[in-house]
Amino acid sequence: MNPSVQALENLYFLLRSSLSTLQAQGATPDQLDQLRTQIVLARTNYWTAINNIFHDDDPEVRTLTSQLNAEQLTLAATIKNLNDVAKVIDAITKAVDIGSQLVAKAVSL
Amino acid sequence: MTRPALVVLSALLFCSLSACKVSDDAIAASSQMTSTASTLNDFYSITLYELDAVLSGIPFGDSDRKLVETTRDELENRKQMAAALTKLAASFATLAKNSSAGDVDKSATALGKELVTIKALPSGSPVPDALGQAGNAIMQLVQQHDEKKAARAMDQTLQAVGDLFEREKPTYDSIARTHIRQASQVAQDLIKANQIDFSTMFTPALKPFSLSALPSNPTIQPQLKQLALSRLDTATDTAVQKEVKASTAMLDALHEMSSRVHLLATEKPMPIRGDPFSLKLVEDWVQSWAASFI
Repeated sequence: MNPSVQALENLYFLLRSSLSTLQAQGATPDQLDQLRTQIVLARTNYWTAINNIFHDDDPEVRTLTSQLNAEQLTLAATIKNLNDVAKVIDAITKAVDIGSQLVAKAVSL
Repeated sequence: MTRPALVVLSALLFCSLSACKVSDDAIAASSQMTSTASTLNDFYSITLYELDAVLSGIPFGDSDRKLVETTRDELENRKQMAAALTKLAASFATLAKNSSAGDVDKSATALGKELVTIKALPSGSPVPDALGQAGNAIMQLVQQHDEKKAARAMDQTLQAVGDLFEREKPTYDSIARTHIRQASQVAQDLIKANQIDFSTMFTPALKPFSLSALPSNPTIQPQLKQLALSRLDTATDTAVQKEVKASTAMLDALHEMSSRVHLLATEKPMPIRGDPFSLKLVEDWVQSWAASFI
């Protein structure tokens, strides 16, 4: 699997599994809706990756993939340990944004 | 193509050695490839995401549906291509047993059309040029009754089909893995929300005595929840590994089929034939998932 597609697949499932975690941490309905929006974006990025040719040999794609993988490691720990839901959602939004940049760059090549 | 020429071609491809069962192997491998493509297509099931939308509130709209359907269409093309390959292999074999030459013409043309229209699936896996070229070549050469060149084109085609599967294998694995993980996630949410009846978990203890459990009650539910979640994790990992083993076996079978036809097409002696294709892994995998789709 291309590392970029793998990273997008992993991000989607990390976020999808975080929904019940954030519910348990007392996220508000608005915060949960924000998270659902990010989950849909992450899923769209993965499906777009599957439907398009990715160029993992491009330096910018490689950099974005590395950033996304690093962001996911931090995010997984943040979701698990942090009680501030707003900060978690900010971190999630940042990671999904990197995923969107990755897809946009790769599809444009 | 004249009947004698087709007999030569079919013999060259599949039956030139008395002990050779290459046509059987080709039919078996391409038939399994059809089933594999069909199962992958099922994996791209929208029903799972519709279910998730209802349970988790994660929207699944028209644009999501369109993305899924785009990939499903390409998987369907691969299924059709594999089915055409099966028919061609079968018609060559039948021809050697004095059957209709017209069947080979029709099958070769059908395969050629499928090969020419197939598009790249994704993730850095452009369709090998050889695939489209071979499709055209088979159609033309069969029409021109040039059996030796047609045999070589068939050889190239099988090579290209193997190359396509190899390049796209990581994507097939991701599609299957995503389906398994998505199903697992929905199941996990249902377990955590106490929406699962755990009574079947008592089966190993009760079945030998022809006993059955009552539906699980609120007292025992929390005690079984962790065990159910743990088993779900294990079953998810096992299913992912099983698919990877099946797709690897499928690829091995395609390579084996391709190399055997190559020896025949280039009129080289084939070593003593080994064991038949080990497609059981693929068959087991296809069967294990077929039951889960309604």
